[in-house]
Amino acid sequence: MTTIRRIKSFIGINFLRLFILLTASFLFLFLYVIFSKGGSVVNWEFLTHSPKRFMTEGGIYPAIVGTFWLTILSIGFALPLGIFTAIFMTNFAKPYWLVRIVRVAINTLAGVPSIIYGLFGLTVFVRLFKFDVSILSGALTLGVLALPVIINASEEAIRSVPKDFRDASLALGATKRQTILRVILPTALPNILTGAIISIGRVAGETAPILFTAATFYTRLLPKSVMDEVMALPYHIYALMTEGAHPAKQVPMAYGTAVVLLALVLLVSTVAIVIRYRIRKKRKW
Amino acid sequence: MVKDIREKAHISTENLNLWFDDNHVLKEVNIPIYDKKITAMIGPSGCGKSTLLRCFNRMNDQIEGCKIKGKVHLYDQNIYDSKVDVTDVRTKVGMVFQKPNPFPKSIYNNVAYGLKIRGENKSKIEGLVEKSLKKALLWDEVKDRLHASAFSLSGGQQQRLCIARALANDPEIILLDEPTSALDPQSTAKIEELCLELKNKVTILIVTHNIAQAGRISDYTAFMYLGELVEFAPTKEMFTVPKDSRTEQYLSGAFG
Repeated sequence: MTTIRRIKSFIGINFLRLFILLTASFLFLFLYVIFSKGGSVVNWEFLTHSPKRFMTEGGIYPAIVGTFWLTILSIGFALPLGIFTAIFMTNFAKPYWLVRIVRVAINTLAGVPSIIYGLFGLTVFVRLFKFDVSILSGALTLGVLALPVIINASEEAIRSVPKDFRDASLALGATKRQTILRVILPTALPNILTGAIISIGRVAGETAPILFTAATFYTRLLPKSVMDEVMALPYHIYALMTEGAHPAKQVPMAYGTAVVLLALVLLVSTVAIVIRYRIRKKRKW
Repeated sequence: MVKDIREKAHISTENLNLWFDDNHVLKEVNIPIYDKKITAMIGPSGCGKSTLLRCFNRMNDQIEGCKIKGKVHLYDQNIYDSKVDVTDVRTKVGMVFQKPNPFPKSIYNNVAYGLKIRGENKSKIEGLVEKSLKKALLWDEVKDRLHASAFSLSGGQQQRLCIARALANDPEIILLDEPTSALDPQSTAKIEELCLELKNKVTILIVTHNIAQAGRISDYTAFMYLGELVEFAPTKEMFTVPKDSRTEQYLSGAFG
């Protein structure tokens, strides 16, 4: 009996180990493929120059700048909006029917395919608001895409703040507004930032939402304002892989662009993680 | 007779009834809390003593489905009057909770919280933080690490920090909701010592499960049972000759 049990547990544990290894190997394989195919083209010129000769030479600098601005602006739009929505859902939540509608809307938004965000952005931001194909239209479209993740993370973060803190603040004569601003939000902030970090990766890498709203196939110029159209890293990869006349030169550049995109996401996330770490350290509980 | 009691009281209730949805939790409660005395509220779990305590600073307002009928007089002002600013009531009537609940902030910022939200200036806050920590008998233990996290303190210290935080508002009344039930005997003794020390400065109302504690520190005791105030009397009187048979049974440990 005990031997059978032991064998069973031996098999069970090693089965789990196998799956962990499998998962990890996918990640490493992924990094290996991207870096081995694209690592060699990444150099200083690649990072700092515009594409040349029908994108067979030169670099991807305009696309880096474009993705950077699209990401920063979309998070800058979605984070405050998401936090305010989450505050409303957790602290006021009246009338009940409105909260239900908002919740259904959020969950539906979360499941919408990203290409449909692209169409939505085209109709609303590009045409209706007349922002044209621009950084602004793209960032707003990406912001709407990031909203559900940020709202859900913020709501979760605010709900996990112990009720004790809220009671203590109110019992000291604080208003609801003061309690939210001075106790609840600062305590929830690290977990809200986690939602923002996840969104950064998502937003930076999306192609479909910016397809009709912000991205341009090719430009040598850097954007002068948020009303300009831009190149963006994910769209540039797509363009290099599908539209090129010289695949031999362009495919490695596509992988190189992927390396840069990964690095950029990693960099921005790391900065956000450092900020979160600092806040956590300051307000340990 | 009720009116006469009220005139001498610091805070008192008048025919106070409270429901949580359909559950009648407090029934026609009339209790006077006297100025600069310690009043203890005792009774078995679920008798409504904590709920009654929370009526004195309107913390029940937070609870959904809570309905209140009757009055609570702070001197001669009904704190449930629609014109009353609830934040003003909670500044005058401070509260300390069962479980120590400091904010995830530094020791200093915990005590300064009430002052900051009222926009006091920095030098005044600094002085009052020190004064409050001294009043709460915590100053000597924390003066060298005011900017350390409040969570670096022991449970007993945290509870005294919460008392200091309440004192910083310079309240007239402090409500203590079983403040020692989560603490060890030594920390409990320290809190009791603190209550006796504070008695000359503020009116104290303490809910306790510990009958001996009520006997040790309180001037008046209220015994509650099933949402009613069964008996209210000077502690010595109640502990020696309880008038109601239920009080006698509870004090002798027949139930509870």
